[in-house]
Amino acid sequence: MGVLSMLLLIIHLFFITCTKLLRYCKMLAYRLIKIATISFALILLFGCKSSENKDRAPLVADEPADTLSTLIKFDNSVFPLPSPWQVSSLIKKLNLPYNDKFVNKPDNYQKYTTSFKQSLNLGIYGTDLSYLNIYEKIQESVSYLGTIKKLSEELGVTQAFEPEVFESIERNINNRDSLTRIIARAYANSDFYLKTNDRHDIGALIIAGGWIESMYLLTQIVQENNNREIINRIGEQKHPLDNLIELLTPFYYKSSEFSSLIDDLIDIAYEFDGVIYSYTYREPKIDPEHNLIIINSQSRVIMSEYHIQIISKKIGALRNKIVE
Amino acid sequence: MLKRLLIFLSFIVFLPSISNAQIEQLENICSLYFPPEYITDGQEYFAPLKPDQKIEFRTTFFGDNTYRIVGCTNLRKGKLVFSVFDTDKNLLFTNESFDYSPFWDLKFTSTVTCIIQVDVKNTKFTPGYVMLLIGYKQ
Repeated sequence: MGVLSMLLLIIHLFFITCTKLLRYCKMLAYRLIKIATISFALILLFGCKSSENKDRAPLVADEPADTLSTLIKFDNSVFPLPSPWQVSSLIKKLNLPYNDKFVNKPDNYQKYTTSFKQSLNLGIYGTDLSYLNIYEKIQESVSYLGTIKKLSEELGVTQAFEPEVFESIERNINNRDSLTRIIARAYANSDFYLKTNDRHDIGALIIAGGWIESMYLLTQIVQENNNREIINRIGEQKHPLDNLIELLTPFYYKSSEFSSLIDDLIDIAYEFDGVIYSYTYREPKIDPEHNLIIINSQSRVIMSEYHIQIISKKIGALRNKIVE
Repeated sequence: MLKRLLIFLSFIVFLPSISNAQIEQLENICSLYFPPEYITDGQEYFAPLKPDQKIEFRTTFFGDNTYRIVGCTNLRKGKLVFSVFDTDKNLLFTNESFDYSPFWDLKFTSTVTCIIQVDVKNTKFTPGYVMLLIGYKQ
């Protein structure tokens, strides 16, 4: 009996090790492909660099960006832009019609019992609130605020979403611009609170939820309205997605939920590798009087119908897995 | 011995709150350069910085948007430099050319992925925190 238990334990440990090794290999393969792609792009870039770039005058004396100084990252943080508020601004600018099927129902919060799902959905509801805000859906916004309040209580981030924040939101419920600013501020406070209290994993999940929902909104809109600006904005998410994966990677082995989320995002990132992105440097124009610099460099995104559809499908599947 | 132990324990217990107070103070300073028309991206970036260290990260700025970058620090004997490069390492902006201004607006005509570097000019500065805020103009 003892020998059998021992044997079962060894088999169990063997399978766990194999699973972890497989995940590690998958991540390693993803990184190697990325390095190879970047190297190939660099070879192409330096091989084909125009004389315009070579002749340009730098803003200060020629000083290479690389130095012997140690490079550190902002608390391992990156900026997975666009923020949910920026996506809403684009939708607002394009005068696209409102669709209530795009947002997660506020009552669904009751289904989220783990901090993993609560954090992701807190990010999702933030994006949804921002989406509702641009269409001045006041009644719905109040309901979403209630949900955000409850989820933040469950997660213990009430200090970030202080009562004054909700009072301020309620006071400005009719003022679309103020509301966007207050919501963005509340989420920034939550990020600050989580980082200073060593709860980086929760903060990263809220950011991930916000990004996934922003992408979900864009990819759903594009199914109904083949708008060029929206397609470009989807294609431009290639680098922000890489940043998001990098932000989440330290938590890969924290739980199977984390590793599954990261694997899904890596899978989407593979599809983004098919999006063609070109960039041309142009001299910036400085307006010192207004502390302003105009960046004239130009980029172009080429995204095939296949990639629009496959990315939309995979984003939809991931988002629905999170909200269900 | 007991006195030393108590000092050590107090140091361990109070050190995080001292750091948090420093960061909160820094946040208040940074916010002064972040007027209401700028919407934060929902994240706050702060890190301790020691001599011979540089902070670097990558971010994407979207076309037809104006962004404000605010950089502030509680480091002594050093001036905070923030520089923006494109991914080909072309220098797009550095506040070093503008008397180390704590904030600057960047208007992007097209979407550009950038590398932001934060550094301190004097290598003999006292270690402290640096904070960066980024927001877009509404």
